[in-house]
Formats: sequence, C-alpha cells, structure tokens
Amino acid sequence: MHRFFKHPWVIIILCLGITGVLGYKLKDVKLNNSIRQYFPQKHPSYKRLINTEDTFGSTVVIGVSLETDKGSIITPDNIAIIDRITTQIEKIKNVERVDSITNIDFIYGKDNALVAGNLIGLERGEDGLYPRLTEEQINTVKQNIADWTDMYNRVIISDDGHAAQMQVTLAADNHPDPKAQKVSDEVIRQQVLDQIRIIAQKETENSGLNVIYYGDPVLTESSKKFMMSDLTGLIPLVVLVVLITLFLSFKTLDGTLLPLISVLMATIWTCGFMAVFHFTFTIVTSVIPVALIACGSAYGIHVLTHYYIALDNFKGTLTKETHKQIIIEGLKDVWIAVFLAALTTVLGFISLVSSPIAPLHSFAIFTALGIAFSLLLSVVFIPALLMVKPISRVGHRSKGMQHLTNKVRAKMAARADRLSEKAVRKNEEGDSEPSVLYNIYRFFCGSKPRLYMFCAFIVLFSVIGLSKLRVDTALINYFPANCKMRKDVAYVDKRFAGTNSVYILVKGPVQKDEKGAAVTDKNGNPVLVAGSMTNPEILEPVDEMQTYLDSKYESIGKIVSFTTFIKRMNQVMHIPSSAASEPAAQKPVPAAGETADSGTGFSDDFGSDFGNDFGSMTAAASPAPAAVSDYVDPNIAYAQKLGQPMTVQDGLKMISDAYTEAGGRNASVQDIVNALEKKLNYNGTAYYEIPYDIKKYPVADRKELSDLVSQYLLLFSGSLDRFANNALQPSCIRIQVQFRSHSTEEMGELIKDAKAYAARHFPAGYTLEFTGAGELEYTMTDMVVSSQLQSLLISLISVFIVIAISFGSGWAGMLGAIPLAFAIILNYMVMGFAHINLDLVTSIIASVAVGVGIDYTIHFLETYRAERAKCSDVELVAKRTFRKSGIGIVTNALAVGLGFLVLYFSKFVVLQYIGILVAIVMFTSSALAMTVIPGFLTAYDPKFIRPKEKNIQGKEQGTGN
Amino acid sequence: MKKTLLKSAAVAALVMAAAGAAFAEDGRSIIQKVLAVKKPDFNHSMVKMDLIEKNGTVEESRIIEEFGRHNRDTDTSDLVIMFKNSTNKSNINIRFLQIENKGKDDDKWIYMPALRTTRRVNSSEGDKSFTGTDASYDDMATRELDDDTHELLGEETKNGFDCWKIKSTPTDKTMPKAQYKYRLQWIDKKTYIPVYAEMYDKKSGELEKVLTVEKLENINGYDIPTSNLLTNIQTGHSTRIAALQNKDGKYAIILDKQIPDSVFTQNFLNTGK
Repeated sequence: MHRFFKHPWVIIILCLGITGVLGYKLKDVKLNNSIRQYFPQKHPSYKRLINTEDTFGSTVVIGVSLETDKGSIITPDNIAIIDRITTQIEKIKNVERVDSITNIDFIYGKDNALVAGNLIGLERGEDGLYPRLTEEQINTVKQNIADWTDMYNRVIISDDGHAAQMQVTLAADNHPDPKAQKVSDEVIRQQVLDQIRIIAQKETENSGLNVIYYGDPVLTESSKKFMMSDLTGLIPLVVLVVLITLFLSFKTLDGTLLPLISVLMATIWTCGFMAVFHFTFTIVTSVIPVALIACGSAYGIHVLTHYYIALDNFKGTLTKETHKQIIIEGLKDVWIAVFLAALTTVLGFISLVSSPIAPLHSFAIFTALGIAFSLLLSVVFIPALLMVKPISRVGHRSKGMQHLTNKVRAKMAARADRLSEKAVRKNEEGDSEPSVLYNIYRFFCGSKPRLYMFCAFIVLFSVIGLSKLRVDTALINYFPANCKMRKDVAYVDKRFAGTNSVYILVKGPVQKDEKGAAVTDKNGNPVLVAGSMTNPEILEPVDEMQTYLDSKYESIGKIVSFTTFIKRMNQVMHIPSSAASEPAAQKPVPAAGETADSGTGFSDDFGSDFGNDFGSMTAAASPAPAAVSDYVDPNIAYAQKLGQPMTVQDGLKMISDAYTEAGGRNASVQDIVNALEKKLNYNGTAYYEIPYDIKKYPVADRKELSDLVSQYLLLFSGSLDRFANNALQPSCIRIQVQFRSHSTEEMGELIKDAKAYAARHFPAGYTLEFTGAGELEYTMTDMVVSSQLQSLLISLISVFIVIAISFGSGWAGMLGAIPLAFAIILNYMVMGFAHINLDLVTSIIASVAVGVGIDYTIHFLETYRAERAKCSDVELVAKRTFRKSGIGIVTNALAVGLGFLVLYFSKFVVLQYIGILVAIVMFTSSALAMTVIPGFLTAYDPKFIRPKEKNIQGKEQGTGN
Repeated sequence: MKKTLLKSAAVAALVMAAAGAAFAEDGRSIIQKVLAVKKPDFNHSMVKMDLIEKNGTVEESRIIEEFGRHNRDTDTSDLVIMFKNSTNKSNINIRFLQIENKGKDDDKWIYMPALRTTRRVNSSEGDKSFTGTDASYDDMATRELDDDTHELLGEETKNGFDCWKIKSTPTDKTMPKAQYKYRLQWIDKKTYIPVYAEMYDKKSGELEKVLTVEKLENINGYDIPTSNLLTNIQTGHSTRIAALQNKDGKYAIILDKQIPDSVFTQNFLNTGK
C-alpha cells in the first residue's frame, strides 16, 4: 500500500485528468425522451407493433384540437382555418397523413356511384384550398358528418360539436438505413410538432379558437423540458444536501469537501462514460447523479472517519512520513468494510440489469459503475489528497473548530468521543446510559414474543398494503396531473375518442400446402389465406365484437375498423334508386338497334386459338353466376315508396313504429331516426351492415357475399391501407380502439375480454391479436412484475451470499436478508396505501433498498460481532453495539434518505415518489437493522456471531442463557 | 381520348390530344407528334394482367378481354374491359366501361357480378387505383397537350431505344388537380411511342412510379406496346400488362375489325353479350 501511494501527485493528476477528459465528454450527453425506449424492444409485443406499423402505417400521431367558445365549430371561417392548417401540415416533411374535417375520407353515393371523396364535396381552387363555404354548404358538411357518425363522431368533431380535431400521423422510420446519418425520431418529431404549432398559431390568430396539441411527441417534449429542469435544479440541490450532511458530520473543510469532490468526480466519470458509449439520459437514468451523490458519499465518509480516528490516536510528532502512515493505517482499518458496503450496493443496483427495459438496464449498469468509481476514488483519490496536504495544516483540524460556536464545539467533542477508540473502551466498561435507539429496540424486539409480534405486524400490514398495490405502467402517470400536458390530454379524452389507443388485428387462417403443412414466407412467417378477411362469416362476428366491446367499456371512445368501411360501402351501394339498382337479369336485352348475333361474332375472335394455349386461364373458370330467381331487389320498392306522397296517418304510424322498435322510452332521438330511416332504407340505412343475410342480397350463398365484399374493395381500391393488409384480398384487418382512460389494468381486461369473445364466436382458423401503445403498456405491467421479482430475488440472494460468506454462516445470510425483505414489503405497503403505482421507475426502489439498506445490516452485524468477542452478555453487547454504531447508521441513512428526498422537487411525479419512498425505505431498513437484527441476536445468540476461539465456552453460555 | 388498356398502361406517360402545329423538335412538338400517332379504329385483344408484390410473387393474375374503339371525328376513345378469369375468383366477370367525353369528365361504369348490377364509377377520383393495379384512373385518362409544359432535356438511349427525354410539368392551372409533380418521358424517335417514363410524387418530389415498355411490336402497321410494366417505386408493387400470344407467337390482338356499338353500353356490361 505504501508503494501504491509512493507518488500521490501522480494519482491526483491521473484522477483529475480522467475527470477532465470525461467531463469534456459530458457535452455529448444526449437526452432521450422517446416513448418507445420504455418498451421492451425484444418482446414479441414490440415486434408485433413494428410489423403492424410496416403493414398498416405509423401509429405515431400528433393531435390538434380546435375549440370555439361560440356554438358549432363548423362555420365557414373555421372550416377555412382547418383547411389552411390541414393543407400546410400535409406538406411538412415526415407527415404521413392528416385526418381533419376537410380531408378525411367520406364514402357516399352520387349518381348511383360509390364515391370515396371528402366531407366538403367541393373542388379545390388553384391555391389548393377550398373556396369559402356558404351557409348552405356548411349544412351539407354537417349533414355528411351526421351521415356517418360511426366514422366521424369524436374523431374529427367532439360530441358537443364545439371542437374539431386533426390527427397528424407521422412517418415511422422503423427500419432506418444503418449507413445513413441517423437523426433521432425524437428530433424529427419535435421539428414536426414545432412546425405544426407555428402553422396552427398563425392560422388561428384572432379567431378565438382554443388550440391544444397532444400525442406522443408532445409527451416527449414535456418530458424533455421536465428533465432539463430536473438535471439543472436537482443536482445542485443534492450537492447542497450532501454538503450540509457532511459538514454536520465532520465540521471540517476536508471532511466536507473531500467526500463530496470524490463523489462528484465519480458522477462525472459515470455520465462521461454514458456519453462515450452513447447511452442516453432518460427519466430513469436522470436519477443516476442524484443516486450516486446520495449513496456514494458514504465511502468517503468512512475513509475520513477512520483517518480521523487514526489521527486522534496518534501520539508524537507529525511528519510527512508519519502522516502518510496514519492515512494508510486508517485506510487499512476501513478498506474491507467499505469494499463490502460498495459491493453490496453494486449488487443491489446491478440486479436491475435483468430488466427487459432499456432505460432500467442502463440505470443498473451505470449506477453500479458509479458506485464502483465512488469507492475507487474514496480509497485512492482521498488518501492521495490527504498525503499531499501540508503537514502544517494537518494539526489544524481542531483550530478549524475554534470558529464554531461553543455549543457546536461541545457537540463536536462528544461526537469525537464516540468515534474514538477511547470512547469505545469507556463503553466496554459498561458505565454509559443506554441510548434511545437501544430503547427503541428493546421496546419492539426486546424479547422473543415482542420480536415475533413485531415481525407478524410487519407482515400483516404489508399484506394489506400489497393487496392495494396497483401495477400500472402508463407513461403518462409519470407526469403530475396538474401539468399542462396532462390537462390537455384530459381535455381531449373528455371531448374526443381518447388519446390512448390499442389495435386489434384479426388474421385469417394460415394457408396450407397439399400435405396440410402451414405455408411460410421466406422469413418463416406463416402465409395467410389471401382474401380470407372478405368473408362475412368473420366480418359479422368482428363487427359484433366491436359493438359488444364498445357498449361494455365506458372508456372506449371509438372503434373504427375495416368493417366500418365495408358497412358504409354496402350502405352506399344500396341507396334506393329505381333506375340503376335494377338487377341485370331484370333489364331488357338487347338494346334497340343491335342484332342478336352481333355479340357472338366478335367474341369468337380468339375462341380456340387462345383457349387452348392458356388453358383454364382464358376460359372463365366459373360461368357468370345464375341470377337468383326468387330474389327481388327490395330497393325498387323502397325507391317507389320513398317517392310516394304519404298520409299523415301513415306518417304518424311510421314514427310510432320506429319509436317502439328503437326501444320506446329508452331510445335516443338518434335511435328513433335510425329506425325510421331503416324502415324505408332511406339513404341505404337498412344496409349499413356486413352483407350476411343472403335473403337481402341477390346471391345464392354466403360465398357470393364474400365476392361482394371483394368487389366493393376492387371498386374502392386503395384507401384502406390503415385497416386492411391488402387492398383487394385482405388476410388481416386492423381494428382501431381509442381509449379515454390510461389505466393499463382496464386495458388488460379489455384484451382478455376480446380474446374470449373471439374464441367463442370467430370461425375456426381466424385469430385475434392486440398491438399498439396500449397493449405494450399492458404487456409491460406483467414484465414489471416479473422483472421486479427477478431483480428482488437476485439482490436478496446476493445479500444472502455476501453476508453468509463474510460471517461464515447461512443463518447470518438469512438474518441479513430478513430485514431487507421486510423493508421491501413495507415499501410496497406504503405504495399500496398511498396509491403509488408499481411501474418501470418505482420498481427501482426495491433495488435501492437492498443495495443501500444492507450497509446498515452489515455495519450492525460487524460491530455486534466485534463486541460479542469481548463480552458474552448479549444485552450488554447490544447496548454497546448501539453506542458504537447506532448514530453512524442513523447518520448514513439520513444522508442517503435526504439526498434522495431531493427528488421530491423533481417535475416528474414518479421521481417525487422515488424521493419519498427511498427516504422511507432508508428509514425502515435502518430501523429494521437496529430492531429485528439485535432482536434475533440477543434472543438466540447464534453461533456465527460468537467468537470462534471461545466456541465451547460460548455454547455453554448460550445454553445458559 | 382513351387508350386501350395495353396503351393505357403506357398511360401515365402518354399525353394525348392533337392541337396546333409545331415545326422545331422541341418538347411540345414531340409530344404533339406522340399524341398524333396513328390509332386503329377498333381493337380487340386478350391481355394478361399480373399484380405483383414487392417480393416478386404474383398476387393476382387476370385474363382480360378488351374492346376499344376510336372515333376519328371526335378524337375520342371508348373502352370495355372484361375480367374473363382471375386467380382471385371474386373478380371473375367484373366488367368495366369507359366512354370518353370531350371537354368533360369521362363516363365510367363497372359491373359487379355479386350485385348483378352495373354501377357508375365516380369520375372525380382520378388518383384512386384502377381495380387494384398500380395505375390510377387518371393514369388511364387524358392529359391535353397544353395541360403540361414539355421541356426537351436531351437525347438518350433508354430501354434499347433511341429516345428524346422530355420533362412534362403541369401548368400552374392544372397543377392543383395533377397527380404528379412532373413526369419524365423517353420517346422513341422512330415510332413516337413513350417507351419509358418516370412519375414524380407531387408532395415529396421523389420518384413514385416507373413505366417500362418491355415489348414494342408493329402489328398491322400500328406500333403497339405489347408488354408493359408499371412499378410503384414507393410501395414496390407492380403491374404487368401483356398481350396474350398463341404458341406461334401470334398476338391476341385484332385491329380495325368492326366492333358493334352495343358493346360499349351498360347493357353489355350487365349481360356480357
């Protein structure tokens, strides 16, 4: 050790050099606030999301809501504003599409044609904008919206009609070119959001419209702002807290500054390494500096404490050599203990590495690394600095105290007493008063019954608390409910379909080859039967499932899917019209002026010549389906009826019938109108359905209804990318469920319910899958629980092993692990009672509890063992142990707890929880170390704690007790 | 005027309508000649239409019978397309009729076998895909000579042909309704047939579609592209339209043989005869 410290200046310069280099690297530290990093990238759920986005397009949306304070949002002025905003946003790079009143798809019937147009129904001018709408045209727009409420209500317009919504879908770059210069999605999305804001602000100026933005990019933006303010505000604060704690402990400049400097250096190293290895700062990793500064200063404190003890014990003249000797003496005393403490803390943190979630992963690695750095600097850098301190200044320790008030000096002296070996010796003589801590222990765990009662109470309360503990991984909960972003989300959730979404994929059966084996593509994915999703046998139950879910879950704001479009197409194609809806078979042929054989003459052109060459391909495989003879198109009758005058009597009867049909008194006006319209198929309303009942269609069987759906798609061609995987022959469709709640618990129920429904009602071979942010958050709840259990297990086992090895006994390991396990379940209890959710971030508390809390256990056990070696009266041993270590443990716990408590001033509500909970855990784990442990030790005086050389004697005493 | 399907695959590139005269070989006069290429009065052909996925697998293969007529007086073309067969059985017997109207939107109808009725196809949806192909309805329709400004960019050998390379950009007036930002066309100097074309995305300005004439044949004195491939670069999907040939290599194309007017009616769509 002497040789190591031969050239202290070299060590100092080296450490400062590394700090300089890594400190310079801090400029490269990047913040990452993207939402998706919190998703488990390797989990099938995440892969499913990416695959789904590849097929159906991006799910990243920025929402813009415009609300008027006077009447309807649909006015000529507002439509013009929405149009201008929409067309400008559409031009922004990386915007995939915009859905707003002025450009959302509107399927309608016109001159007997199926039109996939828009709600405005006008031609755009040369400037690319709609002309200003007249009042009459505004009414048409309103009517159009009312015509297809399934599609529009809560999507582009609020329930009350005061607010309009624009949904801007951003391109998802899920498979970036690895060679290309990568600009992060976060940056791109922020740019788009900025541009959208500029456009919307400019266009709504002086309009009196209230504009609100939401969506993942907005969340990311808030997160970034919060994090910046946290990093700049909290680090100085935690430095201050540690500074005060250190000063109160040592009351010297060295004692205050050295541990602080070393821990700050360790923090710089850690963050510097994060930058070097391109790890980013996230909400979770932003805790690292605070955690390091709070936890890491302990090692410096220990080193200095033992240095001061050695210094106090030294009698003689101080020279540079003897001073060095003193420093090394002190270090030798403490080195193992400090190393053990750091090792267990590292183990606690590193246990989180098993987490599948990237930010937790980096948190585990870098806090562990940072603790290691703190240890290293405490045992290398601090002694080196002490060594180069001018000897003349060394003796000045007490001179520094002269500046303190007498009162403080008295306290200081008392503390110095306690710290010094002299004081210990005095204690050994047993002439001191029992400490408060000792009394607390006596009260709770002073006897076996008390000990067991105490443990039973802890377990009981914890179980009650645990039962209240909720696991919820919704990222939005990280933000305080009163921040603007959350308020905006709540605003939108109230007015529109909801900002949380989940997607249901319904997949057709897997294609089988001749041998009946599943056909796979070159990536090994099963190939689905093309066109299987045009089958009414599946579309009907899918549509019914949507209705079922929509009516059962209040939180569902909207469900839009492939079936919404098919139903609408079917409706539009069945709008009563006497002329063109007549089936072909009923039309007179041939038309005038044509000869009967004119048709055959030319069609023989290729007859045999090509028929043979192209085999079955040229000749129609199936002849034109025969007209279904007993089918009479009801639309002819409908059309006639609709065109007829009606008596008041008939009219009233119709209304009365519709009223009854719609459910009588419980029916809404809309229900009644709907029933009324259906009666005469007004506007095709009776056909707003999946074509399923063969009696209503000119078909022989349901297979032909599948053909019908297929033909609708052919006619509609290409605008269903978001809802079907193939424009003509879909084998997979997507259902978009918008959720007004962010509860992952509720999402979980919905998912289970829908799966059960599918199992009951879907035809064989058809499957159902969930994907999207909502599903991933739900998946994460399971993962948080399993990863929490895993990391708990790892850390508790590590604790067990470390203690078992250092005390040479499995029982010691057990004894060490019990108070920690209690501290953790008590933490869950607090969370349960305080309604703090277990989520990605709060799941780190258990590891902190173990990693830091074990120090107290080890500290207490070590001291107790040392005292036990000197005395066999266990109560006296306990008393002395409290005297010697009690204050130290409390100070340490206070320092760490207060350090973390700084997080209470974080902008993130979840970090505030961390601050409070870690502080509580520090209290409970230190308190348990000083109650349960002495309780067991005095009750059983176990073998491992007794001195080895006095084994036999100890045993006799043990049985004597 | 309307192209036959074979030509209308060439469609996107083709700019038709004859007007005015030009003397110098500038962009406009070349396109003018392209539009003035001699067309048969009637054509009747069998073609194979393959919808090809990004990975090269044929998603759907259709055998189509096609009837076309060209009215020299009005310079308008009408077209009937019948899906005689398809690997997607649902599409068999679909029939399509397009009647060109000078100076106003064309009339289009489609016969839906499952409904046993003929429905009008809305004319204002030019950018929608034609029956799931990579061609839009607009790709199949007319662009008048002066809908675009035509710039001769140079001469190039493309696709094995000695060509003029022309950039056609919609005028300010036609831009709002135009489907593309601009098109590059390579016009074969010998036949005045566009043999290669690139269409550029209106929003991003990036290459969107590429049309390649894979085979150009002279049949009865008419230059007919007998195989065309239209690829959507952005989706990777493509459509190949090729005239059927018998084993002697004879194309299933009959030109200038009278086709009765009754073929170009809704009634024909309904009955198929």
